[in-house]
Amino acid sequence: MLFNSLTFVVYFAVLLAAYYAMRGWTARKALLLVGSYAFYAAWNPPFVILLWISTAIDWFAAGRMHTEERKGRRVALLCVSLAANLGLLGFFKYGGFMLENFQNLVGFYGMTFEAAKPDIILPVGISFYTFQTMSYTLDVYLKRSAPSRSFLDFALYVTFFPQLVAGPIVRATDFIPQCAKPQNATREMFSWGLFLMTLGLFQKVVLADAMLSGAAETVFNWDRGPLATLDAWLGVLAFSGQIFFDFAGYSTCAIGAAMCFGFSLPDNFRCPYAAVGFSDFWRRWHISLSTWLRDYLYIPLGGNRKGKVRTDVNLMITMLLGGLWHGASWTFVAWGGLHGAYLGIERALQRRFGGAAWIRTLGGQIALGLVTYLLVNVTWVFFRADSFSSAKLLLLSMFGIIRDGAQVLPTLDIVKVIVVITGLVVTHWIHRSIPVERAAERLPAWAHGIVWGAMLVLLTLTQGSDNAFIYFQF
Amino acid sequence: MPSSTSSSSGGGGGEFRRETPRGAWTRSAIVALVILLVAVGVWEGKVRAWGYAPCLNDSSDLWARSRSQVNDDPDQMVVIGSSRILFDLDLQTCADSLGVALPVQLAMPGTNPLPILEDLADNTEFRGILLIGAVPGLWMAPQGMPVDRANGALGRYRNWSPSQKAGLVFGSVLQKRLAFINADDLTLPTLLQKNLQLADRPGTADNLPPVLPPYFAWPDDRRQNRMWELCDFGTPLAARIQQIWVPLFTPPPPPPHIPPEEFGQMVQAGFEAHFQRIAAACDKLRARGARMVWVRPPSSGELREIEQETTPREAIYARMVGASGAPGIHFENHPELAGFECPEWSHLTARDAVAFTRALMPHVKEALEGS
Repeated sequence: MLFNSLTFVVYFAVLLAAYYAMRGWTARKALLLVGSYAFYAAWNPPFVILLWISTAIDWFAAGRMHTEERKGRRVALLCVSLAANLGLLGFFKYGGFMLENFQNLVGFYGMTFEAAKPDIILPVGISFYTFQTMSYTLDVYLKRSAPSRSFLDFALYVTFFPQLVAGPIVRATDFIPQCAKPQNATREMFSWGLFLMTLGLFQKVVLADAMLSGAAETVFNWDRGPLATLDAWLGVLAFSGQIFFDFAGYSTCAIGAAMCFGFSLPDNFRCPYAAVGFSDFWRRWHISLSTWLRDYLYIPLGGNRKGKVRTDVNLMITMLLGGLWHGASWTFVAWGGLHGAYLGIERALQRRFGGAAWIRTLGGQIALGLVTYLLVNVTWVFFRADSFSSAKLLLLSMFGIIRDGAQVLPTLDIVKVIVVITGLVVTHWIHRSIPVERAAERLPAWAHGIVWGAMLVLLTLTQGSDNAFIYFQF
Repeated sequence: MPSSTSSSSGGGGGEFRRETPRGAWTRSAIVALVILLVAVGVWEGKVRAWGYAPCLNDSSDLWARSRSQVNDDPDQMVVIGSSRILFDLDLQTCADSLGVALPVQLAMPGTNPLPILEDLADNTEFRGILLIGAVPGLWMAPQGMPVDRANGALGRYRNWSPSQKAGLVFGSVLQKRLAFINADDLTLPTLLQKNLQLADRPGTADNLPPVLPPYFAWPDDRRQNRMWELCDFGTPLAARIQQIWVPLFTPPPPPPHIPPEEFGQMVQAGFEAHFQRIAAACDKLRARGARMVWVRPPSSGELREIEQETTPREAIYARMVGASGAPGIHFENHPELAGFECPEWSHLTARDAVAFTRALMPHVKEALEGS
């Protein structure tokens, strides 16, 4: 079920009414759990079984691990959990990719291996909920937290519908304690939650889909040779905005929906296009994934504790696997690799020039911020392109290495991209120092209501098709 | 361990909690709701004054529902084709004349219906009456939008999720009551395009996708599309749409790197492949007991001249009908069908659709009896 669908509006209203009509806290949690399964089943009912498998195995593994003192047994239980989750992910998401690469590899050595192309449907959000449940067993294994004492609470943690299919990837330590006592949204919390849902939908439906997706799709789907430099850049800028509004919009909706039930979910984005440098970017972009990778991959690899070279290697491994998490394609790995390289270069530059005074001036920060945004856009080419050859052609077009490329964007699309992307970057710089919550507090209620009303009107006018959120495919 | 992903409170071992900013958010919500209701009311009044009325969107969900109805009764009547048979065939008149239940309408605007024909042959038990609308240029389309649309609709049907099914029900309730919910003509992107009218850069036009006709039909629950009155004879909308058909129905020139003769051979080979696919699908359907009949609905004006030149009747229509082994009814062969004119050169008005269907059905009956 998509947040931007009428079905969700009806589902959400019915679930809210039933939740607040019930008195017992256990009954309300059970309702949320059943409602969350229904939310997931609305795509493809049989895939709910995957959620049950993941839930049951991690509940069992973490529970046994907690009472087990023998290291070998604990490792074995952790392996069961990781194998189950990564096995599901590997089969459904990477099965075809692995087979294709195996065929290429044996072909490289002059052998042939023919296998039927697997016809596997990717379950929505599988990368999110497998990572979420893995963090639970890993925390128990590392003795960072105790397992949940309630199966209902744990099942709700795995399945809670607002964040189930596209994050934020929530830690058990953030969510399960909230299940201990009844959660009720106050009237103001409820209204703020609805506002966040409107804001998220506005980002997705109006800004990502109606304003930017056209230019991005035209440029990235162009298969008749090079593009004019202006068109190439505008297409990539459009995608940078589209993916932000799409994904941040989903996270904002998820946070708002959870608030309406009295639950708190963590932030997933903090004005990433106002980042100064790449380590700053990753503190602002898809925060719940970057912290997951930091805590469960980068730090266990040794983090920055084993010298400069090893730190760079660890960063690169983390970013390459982070890229692969996004999709079964080498272009995603290249995207991660580029970010890994940026982080390594940034560390080297910081060691050399980190003390320069101009870096801390406003002009210096803005200049470095714009360079960061520009380089992030280069990485989006690999993220969105369907092959290395099309990515290469687009990059050559962007940097004017191939001239006389085709002009493919209508003037209206050009205007939309320039207006929206300029607004996006300026807004991120403003909210870099003043979070949205603080800015909203400064507005009188009527002015805030006008902004909210305008977003609702534009949402209604746009109507929206049922375009799925981009991150569902990950 | 707090995840440190939020500025929200929760560090130091306490329960993770998002902060709700201080403010009278409920009052803001009321202001927002009032603005929304007033704006929607004003907008609804305005679009009704422009001539719009509540009607369903002919969405992929509506098509998927029609496609699923084929499975309910394999002996019923089904219609496939593109927009002409969608507009020009009045389903009720057809049902009354033939004495059958209301046909399932699977025709889709701007599509090559070949994938739909193959789907009926390969994935259903269908053995009823199949009325096949013939717009030869579309049946021969090798790729691009006409094929993508047909495959897209089939994909929607095959992967039609419970939430999409429910969305069709909820959406229909609103679409039948509010005129401004018109996904074809009154969305924000369309309104921006219509009102800003920004000229494109020189040299861009050749690379832009073809301009598609604006909204001019009202579909109902059974996907009966009826032409909007504002598109009647002599209206500005009809004149505008006429000029949109011309480039759409004019084949692109051969690519510069392929000699014209070689390109012509490639195109002909593509046509032959389509004839074979039509024959194979129709053979399967006939073997199950299905009875098929082709209908070539009228076209007018410059569009008809273009069609005669680019898809000559003997070279395409006659070959398609011949390959299928089914009878064909070409409007040019029958004076009572040949007299109809299309206001925008391609489709009949709603009233002419009824008259055309009434005149067509005796020929259909005769063709079916002979098949």
